Amino acid sequence: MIDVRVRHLSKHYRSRIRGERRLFGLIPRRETFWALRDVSFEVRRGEALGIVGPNGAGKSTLIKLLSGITAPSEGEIEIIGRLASLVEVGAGFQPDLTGRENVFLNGAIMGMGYREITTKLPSIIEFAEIGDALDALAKQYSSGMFVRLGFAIAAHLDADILLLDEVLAVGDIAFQARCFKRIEELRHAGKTILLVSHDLAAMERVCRRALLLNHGGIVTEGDPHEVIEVYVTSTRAALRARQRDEPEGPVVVTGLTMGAIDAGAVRTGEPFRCCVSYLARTPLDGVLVRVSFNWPSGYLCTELVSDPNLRVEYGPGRVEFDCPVLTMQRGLYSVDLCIERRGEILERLPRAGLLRVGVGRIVQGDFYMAHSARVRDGSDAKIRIEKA
Amino acid sequence: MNSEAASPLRPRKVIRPERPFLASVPGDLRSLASYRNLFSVMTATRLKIRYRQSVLGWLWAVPQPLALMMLYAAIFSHAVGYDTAPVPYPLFLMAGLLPWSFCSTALSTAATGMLTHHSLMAKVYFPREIVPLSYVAAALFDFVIAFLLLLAMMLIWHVPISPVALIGLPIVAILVLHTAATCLLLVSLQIHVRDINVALPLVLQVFMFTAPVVYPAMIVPLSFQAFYWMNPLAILISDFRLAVLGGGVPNAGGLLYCLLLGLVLFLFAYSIFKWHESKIVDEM
Repeated sequence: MIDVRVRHLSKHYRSRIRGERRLFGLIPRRETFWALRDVSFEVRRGEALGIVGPNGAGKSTLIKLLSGITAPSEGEIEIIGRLASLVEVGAGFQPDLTGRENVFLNGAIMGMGYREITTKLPSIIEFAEIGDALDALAKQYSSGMFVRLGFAIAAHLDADILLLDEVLAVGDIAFQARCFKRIEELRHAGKTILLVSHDLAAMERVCRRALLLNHGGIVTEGDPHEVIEVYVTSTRAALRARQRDEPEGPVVVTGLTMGAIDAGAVRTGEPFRCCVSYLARTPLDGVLVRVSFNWPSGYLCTELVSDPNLRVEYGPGRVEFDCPVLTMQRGLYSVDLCIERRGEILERLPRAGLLRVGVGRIVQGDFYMAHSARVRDGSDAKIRIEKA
Repeated sequence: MNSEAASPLRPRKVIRPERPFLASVPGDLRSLASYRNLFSVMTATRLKIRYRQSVLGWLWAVPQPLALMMLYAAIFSHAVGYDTAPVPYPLFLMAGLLPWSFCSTALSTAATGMLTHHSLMAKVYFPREIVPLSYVAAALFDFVIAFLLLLAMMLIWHVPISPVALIGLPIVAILVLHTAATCLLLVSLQIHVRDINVALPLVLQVFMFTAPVVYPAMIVPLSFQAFYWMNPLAILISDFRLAVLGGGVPNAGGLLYCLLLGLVLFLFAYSIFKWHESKIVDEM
């Protein structure tokens, strides 16, 4: 049973080029830009499909077409069921109205009826956790409150198909956790989900199938892990090709491998090794190699930094980093590489790779600390429980 | 495999490059009906914000027609001296200005309103006609408030208020139909010519003189009258004044003509607007 069927969908935009006119200055010349070109895919009922791609790939155009905000230039979209767009939550919020009035306005914009909003209001307020601020004027709200309220309203929409974008990336960690939980509840309830996002970890967590979009067309589709590999590899290949065009640097990175020391999957709490291969054109002193691991949001999680006085000989070589205990938690991290020399950057490769850390030692929180615990009986005077 | 398990609970929607011109109207009206809550909330929001922001509050709708009336009364009484007996000239003016102000306010606010709401329309889908129509509704609300002022003036000048004045209601309803149709045509044009609201005040000012707002209809030269009375605005405004001020029953034929013309115009304007709807976000 197919809920969304996209057939040969194309969208172009024609923009005027200023200052250039044909036909004796009467007709302005127009430039055609194809945002999407001959895109076809299907989403089955109850499926969670992820759509990923770099900026400018056509993701937001696809969202606009699915929502009905703009019309296609060619092709067609068939939707069976009610589609709710959780993109741009909180649209239309008026600062001069109270939070409560804004809930009614925003709910109406999303297509809810008056009675529906009134019935769902207590649940919306609870989800958004804004408490007494509901009857205050919205101009006094922080941007976080807008998002929480907007998402709370959208999460209560009665819909069969949900269209989501980066909305899962906003708000604090507790709120994000609640959003994820809600999305998973909806998925288990059999709703069809389309997630269009840069957040690769969210995609792997929620979706069972993924599509890679680039330059307005579908590059590949299939299992989310594989699609993400293709996506990251393509970025890496593009960077590599760019680097090769300027072979002036004395040192060039030729490879990156990461893995568990005892040939298994990379896991929290297990030993971990990372090798950066390079090719040096001259012998160098005072070299520093840095491997940075970033959260999916782009923020730096941690890094591996070598001794700042490495000596590198002419020719190919490898810098090995050994971690006896990997402290990073389960997840997907993007890896940046950097080779420096006395403060000067010789070679820099952002998004050079992708590290997938699996479940090893299970602890809550942001990272794992190597530790052991033992029991000592009460007669041992060394252990005292100190009251604060 | 076509329409798999589409049911009333799971409506089937197909999005294509072109919309059929008139054939999509029933579906569009159904869709509009499902968004009626948005229509009332948007109108109420507009009014709430306006009244909250201004010192005058509910009386916001009063100064404008009152000031215009005083201005025109001053100009035309002295310059031309229209004879509108037995009705005093200021009252005559007011009864004409009220429906006219409704029209011109609706048109000018709808045009600027589309620009104001552009970013909202780029983010969420809802039937776009709700934006201009909510401005028509807000203008109608202002009309009702100003009408109370007219009644007050009639009492002050000892002009009898007869039950025939109730005929004013269907007259206003037909006027709303025409205004809504014109708004939709105007905003459809605005999609292609974005600065249309710059020329609008001038156009409206000229149009005011095609209806008997500031002058009595008798002064229209006989040779011109056939052409003059083809304008539904002229018929509606003069009939409104006749029913409310004069207590006279207007000609049914004229009103019927306006009604039929209004329905056809609205259907035409609505189809054109829906046909262009998807371009709103792209072009504007």
